[in-house]
Amino acid sequence: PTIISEPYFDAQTPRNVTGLVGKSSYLSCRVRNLGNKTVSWIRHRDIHILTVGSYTYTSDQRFQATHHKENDEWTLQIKWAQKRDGGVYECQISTQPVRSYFVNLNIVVPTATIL
Amino acid sequence: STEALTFQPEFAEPIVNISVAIGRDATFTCHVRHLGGYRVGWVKADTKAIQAIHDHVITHNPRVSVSHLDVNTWNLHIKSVSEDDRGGYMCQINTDPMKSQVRVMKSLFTDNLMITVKKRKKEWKKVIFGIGYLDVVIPPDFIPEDTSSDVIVPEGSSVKLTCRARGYPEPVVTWRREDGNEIILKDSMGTKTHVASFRGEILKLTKIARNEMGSYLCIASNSVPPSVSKRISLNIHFHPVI
Repeated sequence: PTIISEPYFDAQTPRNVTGLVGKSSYLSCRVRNLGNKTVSWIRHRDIHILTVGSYTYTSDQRFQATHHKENDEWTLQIKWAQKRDGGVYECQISTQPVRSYFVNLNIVVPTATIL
Repeated sequence: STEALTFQPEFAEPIVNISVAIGRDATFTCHVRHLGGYRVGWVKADTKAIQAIHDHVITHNPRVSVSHLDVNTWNLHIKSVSEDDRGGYMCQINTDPMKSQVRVMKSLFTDNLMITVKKRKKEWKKVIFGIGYLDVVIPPDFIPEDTSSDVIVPEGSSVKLTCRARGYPEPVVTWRREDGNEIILKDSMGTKTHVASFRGEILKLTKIARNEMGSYLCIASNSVPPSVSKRISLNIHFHPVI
C-alpha cells in the first residue's frame, strides 16, 4: 500500500539566527517528505516573497536559496547583511493549508572586546 | 531600451474588493503598467500563503488558478469559494524595493486611512494598491434544533416561538402572521402592543387569546439571497363556549 505522508519541518532547525553586518547570513529550513511541494522563503516585514524553491523572486540580488539534498535543507543566504535585514523570515511549504516555520534573524555589528 | 530604464512597474488601478456567496467563483485582477521583465506574485495576506507567481500556481489548493489577459492585466481565480478563502489577497511586483506596503495594508479598510491617502495624492500609488479583500457570504439557513415546530397551547398560557438561523453576515429574524393580522405583544404590566412584524429570534406570546391562533412566519435574511422562512402553527384550545 502507498502511504502518502505530508511534509513536515525538522524541529531541530534553529529559530534564532544571529548574523554580522556586512557578512552573509544563512537561514536554514529542513523539510522532510517534501514530495511535489515547494519550499519558499518570505520576509514578514512586508510579506515579500523572496524565493520559491531554487527560483529567486526578489530583485534584491543579495538573496539566494540553495537546496542541500543530502540533509533536505533549503538555505536562504542573505549577502552583505544590513541591520534592516533583521526580523522574521518564514519558510513555507506549499501544502493546503500552508505549513510555516518562522526564523528570527538578528543582525549585529561585530565588536572586539579587549580583556 | 531607454523605456525600460525610464518606466518602473506600477499599479494602474486598485484591486477591487469582492463579496461572493459560498460555493461561487471569485476573481481578483491586478492592473499593472510597465511590468517589463518583472513578475506579478499573489499572496494571501493573513496566512502569507503564496498563491502564484506569474503563470505558475504555487499553492496546492486545487481551486486556485491564474490567467492574464495581456501584459497589464493579471488575474487570480478562486473556484467555489469556502470560508477559509475569506481575507486579503496581495498582488506584488518583484521590483526593488518591492511595490506594496504592508504597514499601511493592515488598516487599509478603515475610512480614516482612505481619506488620508486620498488627500496625499503622491502616496496613493505607493500604498493603496496591491490588496483586494474577499468576503465570503453565506445565505441564511435555519438551525433545526433551535427552531420551533407547531404548538398547541391552552388559552391564557404563554409560549415562546424560536427561529434561529446561521449565515454570514449574521441573519436577522423577522416574525409576521401569515393571515396579515397584527402580532400582539404584551409586557409584564399587561400593556398590549399591536405590530405588523417583530424582529428577534424569540417571539414571546403571553396570556394568549384565541384570536392569536394561526400561522406565524419567521423569515431569516442577511442580504444574501435567498432569504428563508418557516411557518409555525399556533393552535389554541379553549373551553367550549355556549
